Amino acid sequence: MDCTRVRDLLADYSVRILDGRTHQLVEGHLQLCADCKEELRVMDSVMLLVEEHGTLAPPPGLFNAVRNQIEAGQVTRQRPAWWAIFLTTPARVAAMGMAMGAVALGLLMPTTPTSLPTTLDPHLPIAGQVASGELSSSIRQHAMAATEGPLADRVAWEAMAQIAAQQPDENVDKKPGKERRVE
Amino acid sequence: MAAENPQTEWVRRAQAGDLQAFEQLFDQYQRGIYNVIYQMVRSEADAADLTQDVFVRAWKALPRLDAPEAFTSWIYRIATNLSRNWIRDNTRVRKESLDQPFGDDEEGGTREIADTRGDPADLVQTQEVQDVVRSAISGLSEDHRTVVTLHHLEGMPVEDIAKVMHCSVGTVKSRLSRARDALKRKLAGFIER
Repeated sequence: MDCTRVRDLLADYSVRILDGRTHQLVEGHLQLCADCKEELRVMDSVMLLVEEHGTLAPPPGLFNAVRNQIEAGQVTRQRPAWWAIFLTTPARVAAMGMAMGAVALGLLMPTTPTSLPTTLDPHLPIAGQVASGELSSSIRQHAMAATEGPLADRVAWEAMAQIAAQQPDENVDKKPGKERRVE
Repeated sequence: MAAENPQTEWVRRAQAGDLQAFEQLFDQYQRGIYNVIYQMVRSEADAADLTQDVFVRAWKALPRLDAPEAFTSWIYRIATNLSRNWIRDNTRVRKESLDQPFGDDEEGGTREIADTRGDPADLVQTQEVQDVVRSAISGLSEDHRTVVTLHHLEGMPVEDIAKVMHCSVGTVKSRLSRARDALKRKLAGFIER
C-alpha cells in the first residue's frame, strides 16, 4: 500500500472503521513510514487543539430563567402514561414470574393421553360396550391416522363420539372407567 | 449491592420534583448542551435561549423518562431536536454567507476560516486560536459538527452519539472520520512539525 492511499485512509484508520485486513495494512505501513506516521500525529494534534479550544463557556446565570419558569408554575409536568407501570422493574419481574408459573402449571397439569395404541383389538371396549366389527374397523382407521396427525386427540375423541352416537342408549355403561363386555 | 451512580440519583430526585437535584443536572450538562446547540445554530444568544428551553422541556418530560440511566442521551436528543426545529424555522442561519457578521458581535467582523498558509507563530493569542478552531468547526456540515462536538468536546462515546442522532455506530464513526479529515486540512498549519 503506497503513501497516498494510506493518507486517504488515515481518518478512517483513526476511528477504526476499516475492515480488519485494511486496518492491518495501514498499521503495517505506519510502522515503516515516518512521513505517514507524522501525518497521523498531526491529525491527532489537530483534534487535541479542537478539544482544547473548541468549547465555549455558556453565559452565567442560565439556570435562573429556568428556575423562574418552574417556580412560577408556568411549566406543567407531564405525568407518566398509565401503562408505564408495566415497564417498571417490579412489574417486569412480576410478569416474568407469572409467565413462568403458567408454564410450570401447564407442564404439571394432567392432560388427556396424546398417543393411542398402534394396534387395536377388533373388540375394543369403548364406553363400556363392545363395538361391532364395522365400528372397530372405523375406530382403528381413525386411531391409526390420529397417532400420526397433529390433531391426534381431537380425531380420537371424534371417533369415540361417533361410536357412542351410533349405539343404543341402554348399552352405555353407567360406570366409567370400568371395562366390561356386553353379551 | 453496588452504589447507584450519583447522577442517576439526581435524575430520580428530579423526577420526583426536587429542583435542587435538577440544578445539579443542569450544572453538569449545561456546557455540553450549550456547545452542541451553538455548533448547530451558530449564535451564542440563540444557543443560550435554546439551552434554557432544553432544560425547561426536560423538567416537563422527566417524569416520563423510564430509565434514569439513559438521561444523557435523552437530554442531548432533546437539544438536537430542538436545534433542528429552530434551524428549520430560522432558515436565515442556513443562508448566512461567510461575509455576513459572525456571532453576536454588533460591530461585525467576518467569519474567519483558517488560512493554513499563514505563519502559525503569528497566532499567539489564545483567543485567536479559539476563534480559528471554532470557525473551522463551524465550516463543517451540521451532522459533522454535532459528532465532533459530542465526541471530541464532550467526550461522549460513539454508541451514545448514535442514540442521540438516531443512527448507527458505523454512521457516527464515518461522520467522525470525514470531520477529522476536514479539520486536519483546515488546522494542520497550526501544528508544529
